Amino acid sequence: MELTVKLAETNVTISLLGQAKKAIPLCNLYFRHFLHPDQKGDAEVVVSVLKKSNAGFPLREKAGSSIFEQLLPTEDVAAWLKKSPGYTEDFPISEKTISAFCLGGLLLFSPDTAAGRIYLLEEGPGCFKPLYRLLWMYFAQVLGERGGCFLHSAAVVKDEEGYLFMGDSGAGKSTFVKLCPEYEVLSDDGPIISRRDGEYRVYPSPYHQMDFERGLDKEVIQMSARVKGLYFLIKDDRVSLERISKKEAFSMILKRYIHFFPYLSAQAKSALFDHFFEVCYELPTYYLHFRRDQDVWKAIIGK
Amino acid sequence: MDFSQRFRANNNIILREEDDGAFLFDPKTGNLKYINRSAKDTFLLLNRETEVSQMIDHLFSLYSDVDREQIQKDVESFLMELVENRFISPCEGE
Repeated sequence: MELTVKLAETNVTISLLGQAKKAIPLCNLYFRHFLHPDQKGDAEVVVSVLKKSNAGFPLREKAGSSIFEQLLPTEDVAAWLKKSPGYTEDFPISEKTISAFCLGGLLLFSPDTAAGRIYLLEEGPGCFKPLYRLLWMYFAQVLGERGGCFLHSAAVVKDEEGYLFMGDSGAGKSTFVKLCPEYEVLSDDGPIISRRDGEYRVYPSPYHQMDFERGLDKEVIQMSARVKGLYFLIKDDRVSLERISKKEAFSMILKRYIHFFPYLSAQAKSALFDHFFEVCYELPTYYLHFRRDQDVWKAIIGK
Repeated sequence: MDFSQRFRANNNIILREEDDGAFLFDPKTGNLKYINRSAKDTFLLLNRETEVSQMIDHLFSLYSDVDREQIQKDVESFLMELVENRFISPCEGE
């Protein structure tokens, strides 16, 4: 069973095998605004359920804490998979393959072909819990190979231009977008940034914190906008803009604001290094101090 | 750390020069570091596989207002940091 998701200019096919087919309604819900009629996309990820019954899963455990996600040594993962009952060698693993664990699932990604393989390692109704994030990680890798990424930011389109408001969890991205009711919000957590025809554009993504039931408007799904400026959010008791050096903005983006950056291939990391270097030197970069009951746009447009 | 040996940048390390310094980036690990102008000068000497003592001499000629011992201390601590962050490695057995 397959479905294809359109992310920016890239179509990705998700193929669900065996028990994993039960995740179709979930995938249809997660990606309902982003489904594309094409049978085959530019890249494909295959999902199946595999019993994590044999010992020696190569996770580096930390005493007293459970692992949320972790990059794994591919060689060890390949050895572990070979011993797993029900494992079929249907995904070529090489030294370039990137392996990652997330919650109760495993993702293998081949940067050369952009093919992915997801194994859900827990049986039972809870086995689909990691799927949403594992697919996100996979999409990030596919986009990364094309020089794009999901950015920890809220993306707002005003007068056909995209404004990116960067912030970690709790920085106020979702609060901030509520201050922009008259403008289109492409995502309040993970819009896609991609270079197209020599300019950097922002696209909507299925990854956001906004009211999931309400989702995104149909017009917004089709939208993309040239990036106009980057603003790093700071909750404060007054609204103001503070210039930030290009160097500082660039360092912060690479170290903190690209979703799944450590999980990307060296080639993807290099491309994003180049792109954001260019972005930070071409576009205005500011700290935006804001409070929820004051108009921020006067300050932004005034600059 | 033995500073009588030479050091060199690891494969694929990207140096993006700026007016007042440079970014060092390792696409394998994703490590990013900004280095100031004198550190950039030091790093560029590394790429020419210069010995540490020669690097110190060269930097002393560039920054003669700084105490030579201070330059040596700074260079050694900079090299240690770069090794720890896997930007450079000692040229072993050469």
